[in-house]
Amino acid sequence: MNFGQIIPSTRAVALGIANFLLIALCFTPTLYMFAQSFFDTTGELSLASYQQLISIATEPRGRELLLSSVALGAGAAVLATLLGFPLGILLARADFPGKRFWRVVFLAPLVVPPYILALAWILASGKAGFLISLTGIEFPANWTYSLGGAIVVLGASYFPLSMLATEAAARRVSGRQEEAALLYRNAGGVLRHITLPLVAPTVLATALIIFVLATVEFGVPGLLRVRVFTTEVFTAFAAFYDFSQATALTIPLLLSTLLAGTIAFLLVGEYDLTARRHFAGRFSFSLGWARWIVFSILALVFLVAVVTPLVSLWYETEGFSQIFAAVGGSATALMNSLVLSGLGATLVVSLAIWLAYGRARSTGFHRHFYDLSLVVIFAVPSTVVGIGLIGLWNRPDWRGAVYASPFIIVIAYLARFVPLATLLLVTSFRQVPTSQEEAAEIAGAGWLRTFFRIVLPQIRQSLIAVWIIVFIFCFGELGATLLVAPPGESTLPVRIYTLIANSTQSEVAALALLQASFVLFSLVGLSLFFRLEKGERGQ
Amino acid sequence: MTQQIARLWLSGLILLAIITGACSTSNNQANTGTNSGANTGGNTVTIYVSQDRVFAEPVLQAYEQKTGVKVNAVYDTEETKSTGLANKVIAEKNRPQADVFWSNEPVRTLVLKKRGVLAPYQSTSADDIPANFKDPEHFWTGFSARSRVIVYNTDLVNEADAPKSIFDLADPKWKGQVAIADPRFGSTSFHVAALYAELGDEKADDFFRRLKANEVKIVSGNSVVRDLAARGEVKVGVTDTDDVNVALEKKLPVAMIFPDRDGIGVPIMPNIVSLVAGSPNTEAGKKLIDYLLSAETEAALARSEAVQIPLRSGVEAPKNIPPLSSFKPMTLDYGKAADRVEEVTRRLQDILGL
Amino acid sequence: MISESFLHLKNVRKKFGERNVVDDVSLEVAAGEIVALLGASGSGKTTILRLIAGLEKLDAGEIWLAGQCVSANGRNLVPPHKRKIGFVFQDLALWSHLTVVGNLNFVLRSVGVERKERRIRSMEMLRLMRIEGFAESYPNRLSGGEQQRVALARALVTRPQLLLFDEPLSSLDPELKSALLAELKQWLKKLEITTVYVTHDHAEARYLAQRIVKLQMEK
Repeated sequence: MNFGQIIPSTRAVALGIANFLLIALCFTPTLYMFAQSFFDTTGELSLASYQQLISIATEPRGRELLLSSVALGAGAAVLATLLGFPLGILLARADFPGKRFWRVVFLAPLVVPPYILALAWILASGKAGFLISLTGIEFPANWTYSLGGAIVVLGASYFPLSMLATEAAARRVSGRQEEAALLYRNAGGVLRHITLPLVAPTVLATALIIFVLATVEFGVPGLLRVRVFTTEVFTAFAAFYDFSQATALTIPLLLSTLLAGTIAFLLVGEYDLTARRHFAGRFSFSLGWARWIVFSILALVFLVAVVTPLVSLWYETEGFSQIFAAVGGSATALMNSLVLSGLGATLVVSLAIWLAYGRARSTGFHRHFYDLSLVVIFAVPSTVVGIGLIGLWNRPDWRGAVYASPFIIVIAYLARFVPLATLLLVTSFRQVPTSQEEAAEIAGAGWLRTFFRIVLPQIRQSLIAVWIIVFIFCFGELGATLLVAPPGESTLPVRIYTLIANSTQSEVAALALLQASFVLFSLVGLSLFFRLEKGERGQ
Repeated sequence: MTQQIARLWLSGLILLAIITGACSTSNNQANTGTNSGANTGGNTVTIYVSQDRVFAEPVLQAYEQKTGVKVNAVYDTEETKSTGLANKVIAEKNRPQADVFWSNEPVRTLVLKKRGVLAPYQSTSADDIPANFKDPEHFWTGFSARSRVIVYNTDLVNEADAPKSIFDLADPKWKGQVAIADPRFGSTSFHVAALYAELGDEKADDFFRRLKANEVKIVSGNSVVRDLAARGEVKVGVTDTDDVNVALEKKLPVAMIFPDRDGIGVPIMPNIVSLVAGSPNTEAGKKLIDYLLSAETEAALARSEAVQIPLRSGVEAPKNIPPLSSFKPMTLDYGKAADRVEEVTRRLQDILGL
Repeated sequence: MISESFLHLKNVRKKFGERNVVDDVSLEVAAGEIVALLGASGSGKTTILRLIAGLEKLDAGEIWLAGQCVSANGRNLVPPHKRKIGFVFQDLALWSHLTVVGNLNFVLRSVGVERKERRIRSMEMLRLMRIEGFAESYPNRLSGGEQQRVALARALVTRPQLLLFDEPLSSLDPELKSALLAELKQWLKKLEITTVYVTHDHAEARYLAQRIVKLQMEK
C-alpha cells in the first residue's frame, strides 16, 4: 500500500496552510466588509449603498471620478517607470562611480510617506516657499493643487520601486545572452534588443504595483484637493460614517485595478526566463564622456526628488531645537514602530515565501486569477481593511484578547502587505530551476529541507530586498493602524499624525522631517548590517 | 543554509532590539504605552479623544495624578488625514472598548448618538453649564468651547477693512483671497450645518454659490487656512480660535475676528463628552466625565494654548479671547443642526464641486 | 607588420585578480583551418575564446584577425560586433524572449540583411539543420539537441569569417553527442570556415580538428 497517495505530501500541507492563512488574514476583512455592505446602519438588509453606487456611476461625476482615479494611477506609474527604469538599467549595467551612494539616496523618496512629500511640495511652491526666495520666480502654486501635481508627487515618491526592480531584474539576466548579442551589435543595441525585453516583465509588473499604490493613496489627493475614488471612499467614512457606502464605493477602484492587472498580464505574457545556469552579469557598457550627461541627470533627479522636498521641510522648521523638541516623547512610539514593523515584515515575508513558491510552481490557467486576486486585494483602501479587522477580531473569544493587544497592528500589516510581498517574490522563485529541487529529492532530502536549504538560499537577496520594502510600508502604515491600535501609545506615524492636528506649519515640517529621518536611518543601518554580514560570509 | 537564513532574520530582529533599546534608554517614561489594561476593572478607564492631543493629554494626565486611575487614551488625527475615531467607536459597537468619547465639536457625537453607541449620563458637575449646551436626553454634555473665527493677514489687511461677517466673504472685494477648510469635515461641517439651520436652505445655498463664484480656496484643514493667511497666500480665511491662537503665540502676522457679533451671532462650538453604551468600565467612565465637566477642566483648557472659552460664567476667560458674556452667540439647537449635517454635506458637494 | 596566418595571438596575457588565467599564450591559425584547444577545466581555454571574440580585454599581447590588429595594448581596437565571429557558447545563450527564427532574424538584421532576405536565409538555415518545424517555438521549450542546432544555426547564418566553439556538446548524452559531432564535422568541412573549438575531450578533439593545441594548467 502506498501511503504517499493517502497521506498528503508535506508540500501540499504546507502550501495548504499558507493559502488558508492568506484567506484568513488578507481576504476575510474585505469579504466581511462586503457582506456588511448589504445592511444599512440600522442593521436592516438594504441595497441602498449599491443603488447609490449605480447612481454615481451613471452620473458625469462618476465618470470624472473614475477617469481621474485611473489617470492618477496610470500617470504615477508611467512617471515612476520613466524615472526608475533608466536609473535601474544604469545601476545594473553602466560604469560610473558612486553607485552605492545613488542607490541609497534614491530610496529616500520611497521611505518618506507620500503625504509628507506632497506637503513639502506645497510648502516649496507656495508664495512664501523657499523656491521663490531662492530663485525669485513664482511657481504656479495652483498647479500643485491639480491632478498633474498629484501625479508628479506620487510618481516622484514611487520611482525608487521601479528603479530597484529594474536593477534586480537586469542583474538576473544571464550575461551570456547579452554577450552572444554583442557579437552582432554594439552595447546600445544589445541593451535595447536583449536586456530590455528580458527585464520588461518585471518592469511592467512593478508599474502595475505602482498603479495600485497610487490609486489607493488618499493622503496626497486629499491634500492636493484632487477628487478620486479613494477620497470618495474616505469621505463616506469621515463625513457620513457610512461603512456600507464606503465599501460599495471601493468596487470601481477594485475593478479598475482588475482591468489594469489583466492588461499588464496580457502584455507581459509569461515567457520562461529561467536561465540554464546562473552567470554573474559581467556585461556592462562604458559610458565614456557620456558619464557627465548621466551624472547631470542623476544630480537633477536627486535635486528634484530628494533635496527639494527635504530642504523645503527644513526651511519651514525653526532649526534643530524644534526638531529635538519634536523627538522628545516620541521614543516609545518609535520603539513600538520599529518592533512592530520588524515583526510585521518578518511575518509577512515568512508567509509570502510559501505563497510565492506555490504560485511560481503552479502551471494551470488558474494561476493568472491567483495573481489578479492578490493585486485586487492589495488595492483595498486601508480604512476598509481596518474597519473589517475590527469587525472580525473584536470578539469575546480569544480574538478579543488579540484585538486588545498590539499584535492586532501586526495582523493589520499582514492583511495589507502579504499580497504585495507575494507578488514581489514570485519572479525570484521562478528563477530557481525545478531541476534543483528534483535533484535534492532524488538525493533523499525531504521537501521542507529542500525548500529551506536549496530554494530559499538562492533567493536570499530578494528576500532581504522584499523584507526591507515591507518594513518601509509597515513603518508608514497609518490608515488601518489608527483604527485597530489598542489604547495607549501606538506607532510613530500615529503619534505624528495625532500631534500635527493643530500644529503650525513649522512644527508639522519638523515632525515630518523626524519621521523621514527615522526611517532613513534605520534603513541605512539595516543596509550596512546586511552588507557587513555578506562581507563576512564572503571570506 | 537553514541556519543562515534563520540567523539572518534573527539578527535582523536583534538589531532592531538594539536600536530600540538604545532609543528607550533616553526615555524614562514609566508607562510603556502599548499595555492594554482595558478590561481590568475599576482602576483604568479608556477614552477616545477627538480633541487635539496636545491639549487633551495634559488634562488626562492631571486626572491620572489626582485619582491614581490609569487613563488609556486613543487620540485622533485631523479629519482630513484619517477617517478617525468615531468610525472606530461605531465599528466596535457590538463589543465596546471605550468608556468615554471626547469630541471637540458636536457633529461627530450626534452621529454617534444616532447610531445608538452612546449611553445617557447626567453628570452633577454639569449643573452650572447652560442648558443649551446639554442634550435634553443626557446623551452628551458640552464644556469648554471654541469659536469659528475669521482670520486675516495683518500685513495685507487693515483692521478697519477686515470682514466683520461671514457673508462679507462673498463680496467680490475678496475674490480669490478667501480660504476655508473642506466643509464636509470637522468644525467646518458644524459651521455650515449651523448656517443652514439659521438661514434656511435657500439663503444658505445662495451664499455658498456666491462664495464659489468668488473663487474661494477650499483646503484640507483649518490649520492650513491659518497657514495660508499667515503666509499671505490668501488675505482672509475662516478657521477656529485655537488654530489662530497658535499663530498669535508664534507672533505671526494674523488677527482674528468673531464674526457676526451684531448679526446672526458668533458660531460657538463646545467640546462634547459622552458615555459609551455597554462600555467595559462604566463607573470609571462616569467619574472621568465628571472631571472633564468640572470648572477645573474648563479653567485648565482656558489657560492652555487651546484658549477654550469656558461655558460657565465663573471661570476666567482665556487671553486673546473675549468672555462668552461679551458677545452674542449664535442661538442654535445643536441636535437639530447636526441632524441635517449629512444632507447639508451632500448639498455642498454639489454646490462647491467637492 | 602583417601576419601570415588568419588568426594570430601573440604573447597574450589575462589576469583575473591575482590569478594568471591566460599566461603568455601564442597561437596561429591558418585560414580555413580547424583547431581544437584542448585543456582541463581552469586552463583558461574559455577565456582565450572570449579574448578572441573581444568579450574580455587582454592585459598584454596582441590579437590579429584577417590581417587586422583587433586587440592590443590592453584594449579592444575592434568591438566584438565588427569582428564577424560566430560563437557557440557552452550554455548556448539562446535569447529566451525570442522565438527560434527570431534568434536568427535578430543576428541577420544586425549585420544589415533586408527583411525579406532575412526570412529566406533563416528558414533555409533551419531546414539545413532539420529544425524548421520549431521556427516559431521559444528555445526553452526545445530539447538539448534541438537547442544545440539552433545555437549552431545562429552562429552560421551570418556567414562569419571565424567560428568559435566553447564546449558546445559537453552537456549532451553520448549518443546524441556523437551524432551531432559527426554532423558538425560535415558542416565544418563543407563550409571551410576557420574554426577554434575548445574542449576537454581528447577523442572529440582528434575526431573534429585538423590540429590540436594543448593548454597547460596554470602554475
